[in-house]
Amino acid sequence: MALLGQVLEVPDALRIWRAIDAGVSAAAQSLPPQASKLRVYYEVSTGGYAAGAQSFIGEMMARLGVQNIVEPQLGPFPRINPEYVVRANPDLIMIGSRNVQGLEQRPGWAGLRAIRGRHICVFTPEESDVLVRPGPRMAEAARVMAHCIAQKGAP
Amino acid sequence: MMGAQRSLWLGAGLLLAALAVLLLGSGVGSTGFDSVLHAGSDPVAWQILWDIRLPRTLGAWMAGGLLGLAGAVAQGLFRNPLADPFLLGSASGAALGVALALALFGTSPFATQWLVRLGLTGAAFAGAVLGVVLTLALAKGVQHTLRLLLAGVIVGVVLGATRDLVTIAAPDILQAMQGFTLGSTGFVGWSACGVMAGMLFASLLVAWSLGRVLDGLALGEATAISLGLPLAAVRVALVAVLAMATGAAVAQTGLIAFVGLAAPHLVRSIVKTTHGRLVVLSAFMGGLLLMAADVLARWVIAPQELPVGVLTAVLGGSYLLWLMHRRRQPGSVL
Repeated sequence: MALLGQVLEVPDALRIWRAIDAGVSAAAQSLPPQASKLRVYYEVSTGGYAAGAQSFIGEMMARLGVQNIVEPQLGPFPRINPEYVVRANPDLIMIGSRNVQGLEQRPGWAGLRAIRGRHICVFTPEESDVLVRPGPRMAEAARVMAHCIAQKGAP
Repeated sequence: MMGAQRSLWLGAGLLLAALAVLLLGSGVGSTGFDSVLHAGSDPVAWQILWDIRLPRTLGAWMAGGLLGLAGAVAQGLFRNPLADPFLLGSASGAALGVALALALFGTSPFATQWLVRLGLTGAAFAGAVLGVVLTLALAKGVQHTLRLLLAGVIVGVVLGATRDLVTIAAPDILQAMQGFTLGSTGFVGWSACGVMAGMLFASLLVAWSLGRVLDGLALGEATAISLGLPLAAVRVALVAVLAMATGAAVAQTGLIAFVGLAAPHLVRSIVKTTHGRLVVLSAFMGGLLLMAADVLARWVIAPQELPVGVLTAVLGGSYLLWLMHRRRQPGSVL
């Protein structure tokens, strides 16, 4: 990390990193304990591109303590078969507002637990911008995601 | 009537093969054959089978059928073996429609309200129709084949460039756009199947009944007119069929490459027949091709999916190449 700071000519790289890390941890601690039971599907873009456990979005979900329905061996951003989601039946769906069109009309999806209970986090373009770009705003992304989990994840 | 008998056999064979692939397709997905076996006792397996696998497999057949039919009509109408259904600007129009819908969605309440009603499929269909209308306006009608072809190419380039501008302005939609341009049958449900079935039936009926005119047209426009064929009216009808069939397929499944071009050639390589039969057989062939590609797309790296358009190009393309290689005769393309 110190070396990275040198390369990027950022003198206090470690301090920035600690701030981000603390921000993410704080967001994780703000969540109620039952959030760890939530099984979440994050769709990065239409066509079934999911955020896998290996992606930074998946790592963020892991830090917040929720479970990703996409198995780690599928890689960072797999394009999954829609029936995989139906089979996994997530409790909560996270999706950007650009991609949410027609989500409930997808064949077979109307019966999903998340859709029946309207447990869907629709992120505005500004929120998506923070969430889907890895960088120094990760603490902010964690807050956005935690806010959504606290609001929509309640059974 | 050797040709008639052979085409009958080919048609029956293609339908039988499609039925076999349909059965296979109902067993292929993220979980495999066991979900079919447990469908009676497991409601989720039943739902996956009934709501997802069956409609998407059938939908792939119908979309392929529409594209194959449109390809046969286009090749007959333009008397050009390289003609494909996307020739009249419908593909680029549909892509632009989807790009605009994706880029505008969520930006303003007014646009969002309209787009919710229209949906992505509606936007794609509207774009496809708009592309064809623009081509027809540029070509001043449908009577000059060459003008029509040129206008189609120009509209394709201009609308494609506009689409690129939209994606540059809103780079977030790039991945979704790529999904559309490579084609996907993943979200085809029963309602989409219904739309495509109606369109396929109507287009087949019109194209089949106009087959004789296409036969006459194959001899040249002057000959066709001297035979007393009502060329002007028929052209309008055929362009309408071409546009509607392509628009319906593209709206539901995205831009699936090569089916429309390859299906008529594949049929012709097996049986030499009249246009009336060719359009029907091309529809069956296109349907089988896309259906097989769809099953492969979800099987190869399950539970992930390959873009189905890539597979149609690989499958159809390699078969065509093999055909060309096998029967290389002087003076014949295939």
